[in-house]
Amino acid sequence: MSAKSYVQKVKSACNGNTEGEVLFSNRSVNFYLVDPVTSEILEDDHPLKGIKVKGKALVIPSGKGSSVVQLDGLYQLLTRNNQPSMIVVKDPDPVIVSAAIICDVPIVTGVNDEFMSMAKKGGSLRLDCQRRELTFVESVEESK
Amino acid sequence: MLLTTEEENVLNGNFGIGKSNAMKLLVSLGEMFDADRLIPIKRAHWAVSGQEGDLFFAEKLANSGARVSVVTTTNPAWDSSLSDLFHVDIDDYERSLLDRTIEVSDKLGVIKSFNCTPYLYKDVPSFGEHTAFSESSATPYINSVYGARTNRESSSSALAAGVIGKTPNYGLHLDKNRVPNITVDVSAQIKDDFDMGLLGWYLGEILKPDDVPLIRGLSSEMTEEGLRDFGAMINTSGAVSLFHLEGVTPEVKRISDTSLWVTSREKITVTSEDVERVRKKFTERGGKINSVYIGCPHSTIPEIMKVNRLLDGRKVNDDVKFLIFTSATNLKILGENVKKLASKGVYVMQDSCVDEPVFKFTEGGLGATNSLKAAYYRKRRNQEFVVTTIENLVEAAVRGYI
Repeated sequence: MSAKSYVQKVKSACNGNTEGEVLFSNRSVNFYLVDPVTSEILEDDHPLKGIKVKGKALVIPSGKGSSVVQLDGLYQLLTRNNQPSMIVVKDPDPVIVSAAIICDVPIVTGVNDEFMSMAKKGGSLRLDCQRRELTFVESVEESK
Repeated sequence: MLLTTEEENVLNGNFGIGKSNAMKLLVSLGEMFDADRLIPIKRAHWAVSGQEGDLFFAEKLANSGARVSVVTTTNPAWDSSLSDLFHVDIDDYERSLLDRTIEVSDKLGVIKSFNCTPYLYKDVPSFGEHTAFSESSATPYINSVYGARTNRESSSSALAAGVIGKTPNYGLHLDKNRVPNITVDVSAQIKDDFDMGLLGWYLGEILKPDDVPLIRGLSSEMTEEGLRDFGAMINTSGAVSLFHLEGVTPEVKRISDTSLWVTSREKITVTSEDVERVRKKFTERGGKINSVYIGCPHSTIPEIMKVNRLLDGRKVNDDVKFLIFTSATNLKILGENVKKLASKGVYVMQDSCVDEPVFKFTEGGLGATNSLKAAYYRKRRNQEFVVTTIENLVEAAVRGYI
């Protein structure tokens, strides 16, 4: 059985199409506390501690209140080609959005709760930058 | 977002690549946050951090020809003469970050104020004025105390706004987002500036990001230091960029019945026990100290003269480095007093932030400060702090322990 996919219109800042396996976090990620060399999340009490962000379509609920050091963390990942393939944030703040734009990591918002609960189960995401369309593909195991 | 023909031209590079790069960031931000247009600003504050990510963007702008078009002040870095004064080994990488910060600042044409309290003297917006201010103490201060308008800008978005002279119209620029959504009743006794900092820290931990609290029950006798510290702490332990203090701040003064103004019935009460818990958490340690840090955010002249007075006829213990951080302007005005303080063992310094490598000589030991924010940031540099009032800091500095 082939995997189901869902397409939705989103708001995004991007310079090209991108895709990646979903890495869902129910907490925001502070890139300053991601190892620039291994791309592993270092925050002690973070649910994704030890997971690598490189190439992933990172889905987070909120960038609100994100630390001013976000930009440097993401930049350090970028210089080692360890950045996520995109960041999808349900509730953005200017700090995380400008960090992503400056580091040329596509950032997406305008997703709803339904999207978040689908993404939580895993799968992959494809962003059509020009058309502002985000396609979610369920993981095959999930759809069997 | 609607752009004028001129703005389109800037975006398309007709006025140079530098301006186009700055405009791209503003337009992308505007589109992400549903801004309808760009609005003009007269000033900006760039909280440059001296980190590579910040410098990467600033150099990209500067090297492609961008220059600021409105007054843009800068956050502190560190005074390069301090490494000799304190005999600190600064490695090439650390030195290069400072050199790059100064060089890119000159290229961009920003005012090298190197001061985190521009809102007190040199970059002061008026009521209702739209601005783009980054820096955690500056954003709540100008929004709340002056009734000026800024979002919680990143250093990069504030710099881009300084280059273009405009900022996207969303968030706290709009009337509807400035209305309080939660009431805070303070029954705790808040008796001085230090207590204001404790209260700010406590509320930052409790409130949600972007909450706009209406705070009641505080005395209307407020100092600029108390308001500065309240904002700095509420926006360090949390992310609150606008607060309304009943009887104090201008936007609430125009409201006859504040209970009808708040958009929700949510209410929290802050008791003396709540504030005392924060005090206890930060003050209960003790022991021999190697340093005192005052001035995060930067100290005012009355604070520095207070230290001078409290130390009258006495000297700081030889094992303690007593560090006061302030602006170059204040240092100049203090004149001979700086020498008097130096003779008592107090270093009054310009242009510097507590969170810089030149202060590594106090790392690993116990310090004392009046700033919860300083304690929070210097923890990353392996230094623990006891946090207490200026009066207690002076006594501890003379004794050598706390």
